[in-house]
Amino acid sequence: MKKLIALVLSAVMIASLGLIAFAANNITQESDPKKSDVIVRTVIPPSSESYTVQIPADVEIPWGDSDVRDMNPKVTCQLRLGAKLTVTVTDSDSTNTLKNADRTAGLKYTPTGLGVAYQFKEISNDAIPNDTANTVSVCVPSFAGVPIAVYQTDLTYTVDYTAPAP
Amino acid sequence: MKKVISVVLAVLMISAICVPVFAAASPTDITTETSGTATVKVDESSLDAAEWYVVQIPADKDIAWGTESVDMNYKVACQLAEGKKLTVTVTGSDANTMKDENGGEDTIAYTPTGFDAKDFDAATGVGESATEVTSWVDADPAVKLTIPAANWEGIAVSVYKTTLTYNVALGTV
Repeated sequence: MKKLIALVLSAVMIASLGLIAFAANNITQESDPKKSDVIVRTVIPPSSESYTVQIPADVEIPWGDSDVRDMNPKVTCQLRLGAKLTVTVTDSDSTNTLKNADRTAGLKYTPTGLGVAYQFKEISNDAIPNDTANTVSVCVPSFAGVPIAVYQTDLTYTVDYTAPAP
Repeated sequence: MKKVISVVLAVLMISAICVPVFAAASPTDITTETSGTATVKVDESSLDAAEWYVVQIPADKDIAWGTESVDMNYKVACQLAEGKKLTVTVTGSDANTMKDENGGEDTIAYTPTGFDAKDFDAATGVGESATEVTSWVDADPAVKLTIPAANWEGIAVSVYKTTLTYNVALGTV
């Protein structure tokens, strides 16, 4: 009995070595056509996708400086084909105003690119929206008519990932 | 013992045949944060040198003999730090009288209006700087000298003058 079990187990082990061979299509003299396709493909492991959205550091504008400030996000990502990554920049203050500490006075600023859902390709390396400089920007055109103080606002960068359709 | 080991190893090797069945692909979970903020603010270190103010006062004024009202008002534009104010006060020389420039003893008294201290807010008028003012604020009540007609009578005809001093001070609210 022991010898029989050992013989059976040995046969099974030998069979496992040849598994790949059994899984292939055989081409013989009788095969027509005498060719067969074998598919080689990648298997997507878990957590293979990644993205990094780099948002600008805090921007400090000297009083009286009306230069345009670049506020573009930069995206580096590697996603599955058909996946979508969008970045939207918004200001909770819809009046486009920098506010002082007690919010009693405001300094108007001129933005570009706010509220637009910028979509990035599955493979993006340091890409900025639409590959156009200063797509998202701010500037303060005038500092007149308000008390001199620190005025500020927060821009929110929202990232949305959409998986590819099944 | 050898037999036990051999059986265990055999079972393990048979199990390896089944591994590909368990390694099927699954959806990827992205767990990174989905939003962040960037702050846009005025550079605090640049504020110290940003204050300016201009008090525009009238030029020296010659008045005709018998004039009963003389407008001597001023106007202000300023941009000061939050919490500050500008105060302007006007004073007249010689107790609000005009003295004879030629040394005579007669004088002409006038009644001033608008001399009292007047406060102006940190943001008064409009302008990018002291040299780029586009909108002024006139003092209210306006600075005026009122000379009753009677004060022109019974005095020698001469040149009488007085000096108005406009005083400006910065302060806190």
